[in-house]
Amino acid sequence: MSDPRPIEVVTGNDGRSVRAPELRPRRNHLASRLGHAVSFLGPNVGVVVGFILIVFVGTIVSDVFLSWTNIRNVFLQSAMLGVVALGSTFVILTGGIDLSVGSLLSLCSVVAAMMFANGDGYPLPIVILATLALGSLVGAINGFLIVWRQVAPFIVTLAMMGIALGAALTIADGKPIGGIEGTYAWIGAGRLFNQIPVPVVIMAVSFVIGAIMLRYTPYGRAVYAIGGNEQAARLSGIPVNRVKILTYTFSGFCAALGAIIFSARVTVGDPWAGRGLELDAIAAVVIGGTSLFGGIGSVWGTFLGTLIIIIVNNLLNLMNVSPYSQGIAKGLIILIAIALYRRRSE
Amino acid sequence: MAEQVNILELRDIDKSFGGTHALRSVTVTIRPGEVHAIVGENGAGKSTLMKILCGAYRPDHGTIVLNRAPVQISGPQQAIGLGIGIVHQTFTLVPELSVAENIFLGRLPRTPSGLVDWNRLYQDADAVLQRLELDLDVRRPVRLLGAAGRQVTEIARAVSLDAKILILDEPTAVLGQNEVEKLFSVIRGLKAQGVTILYISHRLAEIFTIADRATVLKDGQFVGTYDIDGSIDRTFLVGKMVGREWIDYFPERTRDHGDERLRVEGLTREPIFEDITFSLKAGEIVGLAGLVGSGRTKLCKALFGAAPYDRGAIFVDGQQIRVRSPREALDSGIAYLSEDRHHEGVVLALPISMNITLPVLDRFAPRGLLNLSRESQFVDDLMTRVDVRSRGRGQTVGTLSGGNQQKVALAKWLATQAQVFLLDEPTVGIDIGAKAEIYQLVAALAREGAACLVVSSDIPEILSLSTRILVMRKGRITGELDPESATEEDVLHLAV
Repeated sequence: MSDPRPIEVVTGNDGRSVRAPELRPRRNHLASRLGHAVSFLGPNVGVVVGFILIVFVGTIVSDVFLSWTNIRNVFLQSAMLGVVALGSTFVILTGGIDLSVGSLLSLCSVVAAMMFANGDGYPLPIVILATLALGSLVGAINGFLIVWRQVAPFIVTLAMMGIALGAALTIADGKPIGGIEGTYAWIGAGRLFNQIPVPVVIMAVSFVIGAIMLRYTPYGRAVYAIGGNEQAARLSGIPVNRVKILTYTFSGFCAALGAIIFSARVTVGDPWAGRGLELDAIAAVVIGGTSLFGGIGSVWGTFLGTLIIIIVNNLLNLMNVSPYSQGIAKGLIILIAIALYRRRSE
Repeated sequence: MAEQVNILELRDIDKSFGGTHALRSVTVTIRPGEVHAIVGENGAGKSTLMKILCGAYRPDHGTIVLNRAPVQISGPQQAIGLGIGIVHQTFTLVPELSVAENIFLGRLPRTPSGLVDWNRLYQDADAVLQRLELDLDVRRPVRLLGAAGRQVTEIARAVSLDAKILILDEPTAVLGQNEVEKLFSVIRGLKAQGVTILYISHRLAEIFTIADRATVLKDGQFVGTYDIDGSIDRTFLVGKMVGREWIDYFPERTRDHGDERLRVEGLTREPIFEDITFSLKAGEIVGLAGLVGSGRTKLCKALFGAAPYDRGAIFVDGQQIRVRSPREALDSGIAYLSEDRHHEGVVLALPISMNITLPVLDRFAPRGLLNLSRESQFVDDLMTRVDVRSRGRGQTVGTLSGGNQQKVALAKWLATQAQVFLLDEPTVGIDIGAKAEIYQLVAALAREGAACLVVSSDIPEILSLSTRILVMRKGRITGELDPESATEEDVLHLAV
């Protein structure tokens, strides 16, 4: 309800400037920074509660759940899905969707394995750079097609999903390509300080960089603004098309990064590596509290969303539930999450 | 009066949402066959009251008496059953379906075999429109209709449901002047047929044209119900709405104008606007009057790089510029405040701070990373200056009142270094208090040397705010007026 508005008291009436104030010298209040983070860009309360709940349940149903080995295992299993879901978070924040990441991951894993060729092919740094470049390029093509004729992201990335899978199967002749060893295999199996698996380090660094991009760069702001109201963003001088292309490029880059993690861990490139992964990534994003309409959400939500999905699988394994039935649990969790978030937002 | 039976009485209605009291023991009585206006500032409780009447909300306390019998309205279906129809501010039509299908949506006539009986549908729809004395092709898809046609379709739907009481929520908000006349004749026709009309509007001039009585709400409380019979005037009603006497809330006009800031020569976009030539000087507030659809918004958008133009030239401070995107316009010092706040003006889901700095983000990221504390400082200063009433810069814009949302939208442009401000309907849909503040802000901008072009369909507003008036009709500038001497009739004469 509005207050009675005293008409007599108005601003700008006394000759004071109403224009943009001069920039003040830098002031670094920790409190104001924290306030900013908590009020907007942190993970939403629902996913934190959900995460705590699942950990609680895990502790009850299994006594090995909280063991260091199992925790490490959970994080290791989260790494590939995590980085892919990170890219999807950006896309979904702009109000888009990327269905091609699973197939693109498959394609990248095959290409990486072929280029590496038992260590007889290209040197590892070249293999990694080329794989990341391939993922980024395919993502950029997605973005370009989406902004060029304003085609729905769903359609463009659905088509790309088919193309990437077909390319992967063609190149690999439908079979896994083995022979990943040496330093490449260390990326999958090695441990930093003898404790922390390298894929987990890659995931952690990716999320920190992703969080910085969203929170501290004009690009990140543009992502939120476009998802919140594309037309208003455009009229505020945001280069909407450029930001969208960049976002799909990043999503492709993340899929390629996921491919490197995958191939290093299982020591093969597999044209079926990313089967269904795009939906798991979207699930992780949505469970993490990011709105499918865009504009609302955070990478930390996605991080917890990824962990929730992996922990549920982990628990079902620990409880000897058949892998065939595990999809049911995942589906139910998505439904519960959506129902809870909808209720909260009303 | 005592012998007259009221068709509808709302007695002691109370409604709270969380901590806010939206309505406090409001009592309104409606006589059969009258046009009863409900007026009040934004947030006065008009919408809440109407939503209670059509069953969208349940009152916490109080009774609704319809034809002397107390009723409970638990949902829209029941409201319809009781003969209460509502035409919402935003249309609820299916664009791809025809007028007839929309009128009878959900209750299309059937043939014995269960298929849609198209002949009867069109006959019935024609009959409803005839009752409203309207000429509209019932087979036409709604998406091809203008705002007026859509509105009429909505009204026809309510009438076909045999509404005895028809609620019109801000019915003229989307209509041009000639369409408003058409709507009024429909309302008069319905009144003659004994339909009672509840008319909610911001526009007081209309109420004096169409209403028999008016009830004023203020801050959720009933102020009074007044006969519109010549004994009261606009000043009186405004005084009741804001709770104090009407004062002249327009700022002083500036008289000394500086150098030319913007010059437009022969700007043309067939067939929307043609051969537009004018200039704006520093310190000027030029009002751009005209009917809805006369090309004013498209002209502004073309100047802002958000819509194309075929030919013509644009100069800022004497330099010819090319604007192919809003970014280029901003870099040339042109800002555009959209008439459509929710779709184009602000990002409702984002906090105030992120909205305000959207066009100037790069300033806070000299080395690529945003300096959030510097940004917060900047936003706080700007919010104080435009007096955004909020819980702080972190509040999402969607939770602010319309007037405060508009101040955020304006603050966003104040944050830029723009010298030319194109303000498209800057006070549409906001209450009188906020309007006054927007006027003062525009005047202050002009005093500081900016040039402002104010598009408005509110002619008294244009007459009082501008230092010069341009009038557009069908895409052309038809004249220039001096607001000191011009009258509403002069403006209308050039506009229609």
